[in-house]
Amino acid sequence: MEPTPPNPRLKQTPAEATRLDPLQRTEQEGGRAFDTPEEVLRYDASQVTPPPALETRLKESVAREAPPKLGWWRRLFGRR
Amino acid sequence: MESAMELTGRDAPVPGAVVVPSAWEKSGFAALYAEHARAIYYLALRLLGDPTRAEDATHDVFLKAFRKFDQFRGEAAVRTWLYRITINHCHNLQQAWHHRTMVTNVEETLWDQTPGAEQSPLRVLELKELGQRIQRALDALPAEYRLLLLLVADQALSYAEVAELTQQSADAVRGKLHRARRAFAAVFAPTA
Repeated sequence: MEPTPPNPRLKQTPAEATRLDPLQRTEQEGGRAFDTPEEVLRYDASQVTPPPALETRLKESVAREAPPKLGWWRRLFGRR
Repeated sequence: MESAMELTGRDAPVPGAVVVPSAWEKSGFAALYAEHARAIYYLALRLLGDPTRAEDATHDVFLKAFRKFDQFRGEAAVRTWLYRITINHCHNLQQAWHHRTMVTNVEETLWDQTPGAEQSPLRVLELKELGQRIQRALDALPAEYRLLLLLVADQALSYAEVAELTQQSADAVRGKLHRARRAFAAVFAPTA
């Protein structure tokens, strides 16, 4: 029913979305107009940042995951 | 030498100490995290509807990815690979919870930690309200439509990758996307 876009990349979707026209100017927020749900979500995503503590927490978890790199002398003599 | 021994130790990190795990840097995982953390956290946030759970989920997703990082051969894009882990992880969490915690329970905290610190109170309020409305609209959609819209909104993904992630054909994605857009618009617009 719908013609297949020649380029499958979603970067082309605004044109397609306009053609589909599911919502016209759904929302205006702070002077910003959104034509498609994808635009709403992209804007939303651009405003969200992971909590800074997350990276620190993940680094600590990764450090615990990584096997300790012991020298052969430490393995041999089993210092703990 | 002393610091190296500390870094390889298995004890809990000393509070305030700088933790620089060699595996994090040397494996290239730091760069991977920097590039994809935002997208993964956002997907988890909107699938789970709660910042704290999204943070936990993002942590677990990247930890899983780290454990399998040496097995990643690059057949798929890294973003797609991480999304797949995220989708499965969030799906498992939701099943374990047995029911979704609706946004009414998290409204007060939903956006508290996400806007940048430099933003004005009015701007933070606008973003918080918009975020709540988006979450309500997404929660009102069938899970399939919700996931489809969130994935399609990421311009780094192609239709083929979205199709792969949602286990259907690209044509099916296009057809459902049309309906998903309409469903989102129908729920989102009246709440303005």
